Amino acid sequence: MAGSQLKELKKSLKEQGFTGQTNVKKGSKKGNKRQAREYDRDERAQQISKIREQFSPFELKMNRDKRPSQTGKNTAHKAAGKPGISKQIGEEQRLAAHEARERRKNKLGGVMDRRFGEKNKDLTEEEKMLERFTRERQAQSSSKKKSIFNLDDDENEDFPTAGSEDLYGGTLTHYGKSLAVEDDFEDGDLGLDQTKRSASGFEDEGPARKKTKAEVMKEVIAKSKFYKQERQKAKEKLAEEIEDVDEEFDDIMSELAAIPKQKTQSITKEDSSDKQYDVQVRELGLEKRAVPADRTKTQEEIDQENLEKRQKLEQARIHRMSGMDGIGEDDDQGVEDLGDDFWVGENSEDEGEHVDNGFDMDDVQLPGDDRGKHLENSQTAVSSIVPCPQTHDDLMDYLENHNLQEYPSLVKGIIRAYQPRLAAGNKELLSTFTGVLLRYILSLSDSYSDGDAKELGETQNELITILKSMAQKYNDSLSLTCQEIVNDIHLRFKSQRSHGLLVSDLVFFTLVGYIFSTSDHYHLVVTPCNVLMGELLEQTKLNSFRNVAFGAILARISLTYQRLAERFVPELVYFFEKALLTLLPISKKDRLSKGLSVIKCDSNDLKAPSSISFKESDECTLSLRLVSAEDAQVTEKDKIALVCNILASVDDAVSKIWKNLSCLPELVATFEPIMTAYRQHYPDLKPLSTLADKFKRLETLNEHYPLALQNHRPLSIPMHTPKFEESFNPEKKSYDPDRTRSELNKMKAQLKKDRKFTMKEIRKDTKFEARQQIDQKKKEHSDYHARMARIVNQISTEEGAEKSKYEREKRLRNSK
Amino acid sequence: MALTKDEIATCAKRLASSNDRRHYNDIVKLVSQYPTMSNVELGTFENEEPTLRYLTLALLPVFRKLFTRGQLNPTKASSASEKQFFLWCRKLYNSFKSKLLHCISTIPFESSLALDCLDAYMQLINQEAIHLASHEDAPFFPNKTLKALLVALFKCDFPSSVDAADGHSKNPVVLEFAQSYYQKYVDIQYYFQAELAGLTLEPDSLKNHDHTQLMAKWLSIMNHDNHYTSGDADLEIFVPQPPQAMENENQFRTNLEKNWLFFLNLGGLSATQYKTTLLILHKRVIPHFHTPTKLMDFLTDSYDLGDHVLSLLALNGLFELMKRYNLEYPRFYTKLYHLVTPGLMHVKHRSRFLRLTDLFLSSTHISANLIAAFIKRLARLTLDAPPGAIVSVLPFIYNLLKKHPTCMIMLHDPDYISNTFAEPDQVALVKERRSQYQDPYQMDEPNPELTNAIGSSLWELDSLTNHYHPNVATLAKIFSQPFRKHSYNMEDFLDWSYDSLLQAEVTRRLKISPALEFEEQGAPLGNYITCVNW
Repeated sequence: MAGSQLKELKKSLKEQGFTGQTNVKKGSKKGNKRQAREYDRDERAQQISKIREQFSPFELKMNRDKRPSQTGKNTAHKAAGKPGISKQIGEEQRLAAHEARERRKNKLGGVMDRRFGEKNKDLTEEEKMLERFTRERQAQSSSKKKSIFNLDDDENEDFPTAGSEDLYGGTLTHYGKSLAVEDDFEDGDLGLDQTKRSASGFEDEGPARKKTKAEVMKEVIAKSKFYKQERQKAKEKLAEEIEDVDEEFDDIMSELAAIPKQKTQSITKEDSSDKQYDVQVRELGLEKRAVPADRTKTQEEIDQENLEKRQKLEQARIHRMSGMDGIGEDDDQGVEDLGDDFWVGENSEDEGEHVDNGFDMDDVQLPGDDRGKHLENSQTAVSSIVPCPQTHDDLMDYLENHNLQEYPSLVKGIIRAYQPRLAAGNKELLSTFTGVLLRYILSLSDSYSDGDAKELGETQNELITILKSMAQKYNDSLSLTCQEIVNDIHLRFKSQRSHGLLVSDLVFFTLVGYIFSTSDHYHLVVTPCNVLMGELLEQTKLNSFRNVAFGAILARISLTYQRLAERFVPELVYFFEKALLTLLPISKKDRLSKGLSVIKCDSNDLKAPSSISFKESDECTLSLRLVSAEDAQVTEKDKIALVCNILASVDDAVSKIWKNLSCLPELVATFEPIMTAYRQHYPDLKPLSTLADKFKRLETLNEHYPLALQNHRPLSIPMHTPKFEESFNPEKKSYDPDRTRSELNKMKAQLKKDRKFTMKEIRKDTKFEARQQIDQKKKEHSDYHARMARIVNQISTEEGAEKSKYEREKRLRNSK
Repeated sequence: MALTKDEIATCAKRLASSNDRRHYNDIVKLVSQYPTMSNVELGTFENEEPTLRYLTLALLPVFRKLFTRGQLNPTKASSASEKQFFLWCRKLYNSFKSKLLHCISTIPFESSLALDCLDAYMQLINQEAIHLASHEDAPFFPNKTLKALLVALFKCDFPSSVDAADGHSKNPVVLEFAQSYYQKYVDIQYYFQAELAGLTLEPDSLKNHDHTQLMAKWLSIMNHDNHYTSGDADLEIFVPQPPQAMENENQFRTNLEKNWLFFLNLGGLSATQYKTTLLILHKRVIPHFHTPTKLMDFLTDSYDLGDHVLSLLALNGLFELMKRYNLEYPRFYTKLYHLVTPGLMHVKHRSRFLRLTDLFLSSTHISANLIAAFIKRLARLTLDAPPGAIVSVLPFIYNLLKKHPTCMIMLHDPDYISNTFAEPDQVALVKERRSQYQDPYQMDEPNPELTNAIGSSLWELDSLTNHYHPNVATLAKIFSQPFRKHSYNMEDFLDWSYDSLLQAEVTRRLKISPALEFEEQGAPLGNYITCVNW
């Protein structure tokens, strides 16, 4: 560039035709020229701004392109931004925001939210409302007035006059004067004043003269003095009286001592009746208020309710069966929570043995006179009469001297006497008693052959029903006892394998099945029982009639366990095979020839008779009493019954459980040779033929085709070969095939950028703020100094004026 | 006639202290003190025993003195008369030895005397090696003397000396010999085997004895790790100058092999002895053999005995031979298949069987037919098995299926899937296939290759998902889930039993109360359980 900036500017302005002579020749036509100017205005502004840009090189930010562009045109500089302007814009915006802040400063205030927990996120809407309500209530009760709007509030003031304090605590005034003076009409002594006033009013016709302030004050002082005097007088009088009494105190006391005591006694006697009365009144007061009774439900409604309840329980059972425990848990809790309602609760219709203390006692169960006695008993100290047995021996001792039939009622007596509501600690006692009762029932069954079996059975049944109802409340202790018993049986069986099984064990398994839900996927009591039964079925040596019979009964119990869940018990298959083979009346040699030797038999002398001579061969009921007798003679009939029983069990198992299994043909195949062998010996045994028919029918029904268990979506295999990009573009930020990862990276980059930008902005803001502050300070300083200077100036001018005045005066005086 | 301890002491002292030949007649007197033991009573023997023991201990130094004086080696005699005297001494010495052997072989009960005699005899062997060598410091081992001892040891016999648990001998003399001599000294091992090999060739030397006893003694002597041919054996030499021949390891192996085979082929061995032998076969027998494949006959015999455990162990031995020594044994897997019997699930050694079968079937080159047969048979057996057995069989089958994916057809046959979106004729085809299907599996076929198991399906495993024990049922469900796991560690599943299952249950804490039955089923001891009269 040649020449100075000014020269350049002038030159370029001239070139554009902004300065100097414009087209003189063309300017001959006036209108045309003006029109042209109008038209050029925009262009002109553009030109000017271009020139301006050209002459201030820092207005524009340039980006140098490092790579030579494809087209070969090397446009060296590319305008990318105008830092000056953008800075200015930012500055302006900040200034505006700052000013807005300054304006608001010390003027706008927030509202403090003093309400409770409005911003507390932990509270639910309902809790918030509740809390607000209580706050409000408290505030009202603590303030003197219950409610400012309550008109009935001031009961003492029968005549709410204009002068009394109004709602807002102030007094009514007129022209600043209280209107309360009107009150004085009430007072009798001022009546005179009134007459006086009326008299005076009569005199001067107009309104009473307004008292001066001094007069009012005087009146007030006089009044207060008068009241003070009154109070002093009263006080003096009281003091005197007290002094008198003090002096006479000894005399009074001696007189009181002299009064004979009998008199007081009579008073107390009178009091006792009073007291009774008081007690009664209090009792009545404390008694529950009469509440309208629930409407008596119709039979239909009751049935409906029962049905719903059962459906709910059934649903919970099905959930447990399929192993979804979360739902079952809730229900269990429900049983636990029954608490005291248990006795009057759900099974009140069932057996009628729900035992509540006194009020809700079932009349069917116990005669009326008995009831009264029991009521008394339960409320006084029954505990001393009826002990609550905590060990097995205690219960034995307690029941020893009684008849068998009395046992259930005696046990009920114990339970009744130790209702948890009667005394603390009863709950623990009863929960221990539950376990004791269970063990006692089991021990009863071991003395089976002794007494009358039928009676014993009935007693046991009753005791078991009691136990079942107890189980609802004392579930935990009962379960623990069951676990212990399971362990006991297991250990006993391990130590003496051959004759380990007792009648009580069978009763125990039955009882567990009766009380607990056997269909659960996992059950704390039933699962161990299942395992134990499996062990007994599999490992008991079938070397005596008794063992086989016990096994058959155990198999029955196991089948009963699985009646709902229909689970497969392999040990049953094993036991059936083994037992049937043991009882099969053919020699070992024949067995080998028929391919039946696969399972080893423990004994060879338990064969059933080779042919049946009697007709009642359909009898398949086993008598436990007969079986359990140690030295019982086993007749052929018993053996046939046992065979029938086992066949019936197989029948049950097939038709209830195995028929749903995919391996039914395999199971049938294992029994087939045994069945044919039996059929050869007993061609007209009824269970045999029915079972064979059933096998055949099921076989035809059952569709047996290969499994397709792995019918899943095919698993995808991860690929590890590298992937080449056909048209790679370095501009593209990422070729990540993982969508989520690339997105994540993108987000991260964005975040980083934003973060940088925000940091920069914040820095700028703070700098701006600092600048503003300094400016403000400077301004304040200068203001101050200016003000001070003005004041000094003023003073000095005043001083100067005074001085000159003084001088002038002085001069005048001197001149005089 | 019987001398007291004091008399013995004075005689022995006199003999040991001086070289006076006049006292030598006392030796005759002392040696003749030993009574015949063949029908001695325990009660009377107890009185005599201390004196006899004292006598043995006294005579030992006397003869040792004779050895040092060189009076027992006739070749060293300088004159004819001296030679005659030496021969007389030698005869005396031989009679002493025979007395000792007599004590060892004939006392029919446990006694300290026999042990003392053994010790004394071994001392004499040592002395002989030193003094009876052809010349001073010449290598020599008195193998004839040792052979006499061997005969005595194997002859020695008293009732109930065989341990019932592992078939070892309880004879203290044999045990003492094994412990303090055989297991410590390399030369004794070598000459023991050499002499024994010679002995077995003699027609009626050993075979007349009770075979069980013989095997028991043999086992007691051989059941240790400190062998001549063991790599890290810690052995010493018993005699100071053993001959060079002893270093011939091949000869030792040959002898040992011969002896083992002799004893194993004796016949009449007890089952426990078979078992013990099979158990030590890998570590203590096969490494010392030239050609271990010679054991095949013994192993086949043990398999044929019929005992399930023995058969299994025999197969284990055979497998080892096949794997390491290229034994050709074509019917191995058939034999293994025969061991999968219905009783297998109910016996204790089930876990051992599965462990070994896991090993046998670990090769991926076994035919799919064979694997399928094993899988199907095991699956069939689970139908009446206890939960412990099922729990161990399920992962086993899983691992097999994973290793042999061709067998997956038994779990998943895509031809029988009915697809609801398929063409009608396809649906009809599937339906027809289903109705036509006949299970081709033959449970009774003895040859696993011909059972057609691969054409069958594992319905048994599918049914087990309905097992009464929740854990078993859950485990059975692995077959219907994707096979993602590479393999199950069998050791975690093998050792479950009713005992451990119940223990796991009983120790469980009550967290939630067990659910109760809500339905009424009539009287508990009446119609709740049918067909039982309570």
